[in-house]
Amino acid sequence: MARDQGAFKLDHPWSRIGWISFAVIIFASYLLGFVLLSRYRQNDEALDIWSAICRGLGIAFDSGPAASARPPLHTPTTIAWTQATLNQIHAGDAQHGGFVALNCAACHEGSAANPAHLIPTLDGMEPEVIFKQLADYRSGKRSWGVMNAIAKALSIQDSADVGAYFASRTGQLLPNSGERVPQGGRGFWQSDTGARLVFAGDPKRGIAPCSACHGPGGYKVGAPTLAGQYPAYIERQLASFAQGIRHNDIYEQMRAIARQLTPDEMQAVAAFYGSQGRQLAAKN
Amino acid sequence: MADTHPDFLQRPLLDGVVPAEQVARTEKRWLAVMVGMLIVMMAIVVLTGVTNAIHPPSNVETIDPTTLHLDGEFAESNLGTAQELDGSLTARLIAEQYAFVPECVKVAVDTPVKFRLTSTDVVHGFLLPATNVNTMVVPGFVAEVRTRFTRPGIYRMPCNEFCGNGHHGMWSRVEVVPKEQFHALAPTERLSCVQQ
Amino acid sequence: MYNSRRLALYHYWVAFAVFLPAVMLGAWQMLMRSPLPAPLDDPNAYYASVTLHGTAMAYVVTTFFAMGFGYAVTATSLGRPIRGIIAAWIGFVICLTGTLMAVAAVLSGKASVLYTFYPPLLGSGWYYSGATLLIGGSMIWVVLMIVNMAAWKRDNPGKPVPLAMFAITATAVLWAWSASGVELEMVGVVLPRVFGLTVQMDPGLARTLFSVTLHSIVYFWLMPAYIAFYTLVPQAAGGRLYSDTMGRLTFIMFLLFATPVGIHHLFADPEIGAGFKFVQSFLTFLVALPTLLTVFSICASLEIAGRHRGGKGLLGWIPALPWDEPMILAVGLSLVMLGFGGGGGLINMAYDMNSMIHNTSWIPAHFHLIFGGAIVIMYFAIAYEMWPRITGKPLCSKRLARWQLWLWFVGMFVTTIPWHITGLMGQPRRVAIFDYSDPLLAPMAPLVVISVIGAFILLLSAILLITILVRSQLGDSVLQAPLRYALAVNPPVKVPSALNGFALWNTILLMFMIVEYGYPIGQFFILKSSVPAYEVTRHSTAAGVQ
Repeated sequence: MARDQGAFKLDHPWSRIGWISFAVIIFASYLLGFVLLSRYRQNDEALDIWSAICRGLGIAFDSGPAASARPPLHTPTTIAWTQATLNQIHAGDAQHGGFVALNCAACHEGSAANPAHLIPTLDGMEPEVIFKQLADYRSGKRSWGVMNAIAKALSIQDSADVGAYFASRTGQLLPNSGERVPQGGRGFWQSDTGARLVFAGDPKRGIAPCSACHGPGGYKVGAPTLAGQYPAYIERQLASFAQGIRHNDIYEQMRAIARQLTPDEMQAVAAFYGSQGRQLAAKN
Repeated sequence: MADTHPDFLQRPLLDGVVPAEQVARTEKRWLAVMVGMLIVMMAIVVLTGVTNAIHPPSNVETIDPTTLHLDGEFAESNLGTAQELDGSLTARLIAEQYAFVPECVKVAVDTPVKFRLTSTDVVHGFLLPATNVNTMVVPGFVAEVRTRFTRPGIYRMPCNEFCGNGHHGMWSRVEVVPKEQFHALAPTERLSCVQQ
Repeated sequence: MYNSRRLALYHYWVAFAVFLPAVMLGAWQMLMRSPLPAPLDDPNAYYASVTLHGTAMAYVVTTFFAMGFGYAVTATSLGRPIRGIIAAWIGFVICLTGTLMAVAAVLSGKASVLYTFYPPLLGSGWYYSGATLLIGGSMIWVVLMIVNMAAWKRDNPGKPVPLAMFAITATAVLWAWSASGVELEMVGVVLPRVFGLTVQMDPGLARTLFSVTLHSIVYFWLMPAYIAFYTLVPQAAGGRLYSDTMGRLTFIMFLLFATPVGIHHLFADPEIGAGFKFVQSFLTFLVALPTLLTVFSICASLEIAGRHRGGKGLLGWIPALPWDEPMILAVGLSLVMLGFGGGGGLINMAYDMNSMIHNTSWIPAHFHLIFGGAIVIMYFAIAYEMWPRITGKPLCSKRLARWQLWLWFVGMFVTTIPWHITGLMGQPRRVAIFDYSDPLLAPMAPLVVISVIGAFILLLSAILLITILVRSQLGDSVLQAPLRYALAVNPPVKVPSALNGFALWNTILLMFMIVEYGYPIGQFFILKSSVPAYEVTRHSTAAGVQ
């Protein structure tokens, strides 16, 4: 196909038309885009040509973050979901974790120490969640009774091991795979408040559906599975977030939502999730 | 297709029913008119770009999305509206699955506002209907868009880029208040209208 | 049709068999996002449906249709059997396998990432692998188009390649350039992360690579329709093509300008500077040119036909055209939709006006009108031309075909006009459910309901289409006249080699791509912008959790 055409020879008329058009288009568009238009900025003076070209490429920006003064830093947690942290969590030894967790069962399993079910069940919980909450207890970013002292007594490796152990257990929590079988009644027509908030949320108040992070049918690292969790615990945590008593959620994700919920809604959501647990999971 | 034709099609069209020079001439004229029209449209785009300084976003800044909350420009304590020395406002937000943080941003009317956003996780979209604020928020990059609100009111702010199964719940708002109701901010003060 | 008969038919049937369920999904989606109650109103179902509808319509239906059409055109326009028929069948099997993999993955709920993939969202590897196979397998078709055209030129030295063959080969070459973007994104960014070869992904690089595909793919979709405009419509009208040269130039311009403009899909993105956004916006104005020229040429061709049929006066040639022919009715309806849809496109390409409508409902409204409307209606018309030639049986009813086309036209306007308006009002897109009691959304509610009505009209039209094709194929056998392409008013005896091949234009396009995309893609090898992937479902790495 190329034998009878000299693609670079400008003596053929079409070759000439093609290459000259190419040159004109490139020259005109670059001139207009990089030299002319990039010079003019809203609310600013016109730039010189070199700065304009850099602006056009996007590499010279005057909005550098370092300049302005900042309020005192406060962080919700010391944990960031970096690859290093995730690797450490996933390298947890469940067997060693089981040994460490002999002491956890008294409160987290036994009902004698947990009559009002204000202490969560952990069997089947995600390892990342357990790791982060222990880290937050250790650093004081989250506080509850004896948990701070317990967390301080555990090393970071212990936390990863304990996380692996609980993740391997089977209890009433439904592990969150991020998938769900589609079903009707999960939009704004749902009359049950709990189910509606869990699946549809309330965009007018900026409330995302709970299931989008906590499942079923959504997944986000660090968001614990809630299906089958004790309703009293869920309700207590929502209230704590709403009042700012608990504040270890990254970027106020839970605080922003909890502040908008009424106590009845908190109860409805908690009751809904409580009813979705493993023993009661007939058709979920 | 050839079955039911009336008799005029038994007289097929012969070659050259329109002479080749006429064909070429009319096509070239149309080409000239069309190119002219496109040049006019492009000139309008260029002209308004120069006179009104209307541009799409143009700063390529990278940032690490996993450690944003630990320190730096997008730490929790630094989010919200800040006031620059020249009186303009800079609003810093985080976009994440499934909320903008802070979910209520407060700015003043008739004041230059610069929004700076980044994402902690996936791509989100930041849209303020009835304004020129419409940008993608891509993790790993800082998105910046400048505007000036001419009307006070509450501007609803949906996420307009699919970000996962909770995308339909990701709505926030910007409150634009008259200048009298907007007190000047100290350099280390950050403002939002999130209820405490 | 020589040896292309079964090949074309199998490709067409895959395309249309996927088309009907995809339209059903689309109608359900319109209902789901409306104020009306819908069955299975689960947002997760919506996002999976959007993924499936988009994948089916954007990748499966279009690719299989273009391939089938290409094989049919090759055999009929060159007047001889296709070379490489075994390779063609291998390509068909690869594409079908990829399709089934992708569809199964989405149906399992593990790949709700939408057909634009949205990295760093990460879904099932089966979905990406399936899409890669489907698009990669179609490269066999591309090679066969080029090989067949080259072989014909060798056997017919100095003679002009028939316009239909020239055009379908231009389409194939364009598809190769276009597909390079998405294939590089898959192979370079997404699949390495899926298979665990990398730990992070670069969304900026992925989006920029994908933008190479994103605009040029719509020209891959529309070129078969334009081939019909130039080579089938004048014949169906009983006239001649006004200018063969303009036809060739149109397809050459598409080849040149369709690909180096992709960054206009990234106007609102932070990873590209405004300079390149403008440069590619400038080029996007040029890609409007071939369409504008085509409208003129086709109207001129139709005028010749109309006057030959006895039409008098300034516009008297219009009623004189054979409107009872599905091909003519389709082109009329298509040009109307092209006018509206194209006008919307001119707004999208201006990078300042774009910020008003970016990622609002205006965008799907626009591409449903221009692609789902103007182009797909020509696909129907092409199918109505091809079925009798392939099966040897006539269309069961031209009247039913005209009804089907009218329903599609009306349905498309009823669906998309309110949709454009809600977009201007600020409605975001790809949202499963809306709370219409929100003051911003309340005024949109009646408009969305009108769109739902339109969607069900479209569904009716799609059902009618399949009915017509099935009944025609199962009907009684009558010998059909062979497919004849339109002659030009001044049939070319000899064309310049630049208008008979693509070497010059490919070279210029390569230079365009280097100049337009070199820096935007190259910058990512310097910027450190890789981020963790976010899986849409949990691939558990902890022991014991299923």
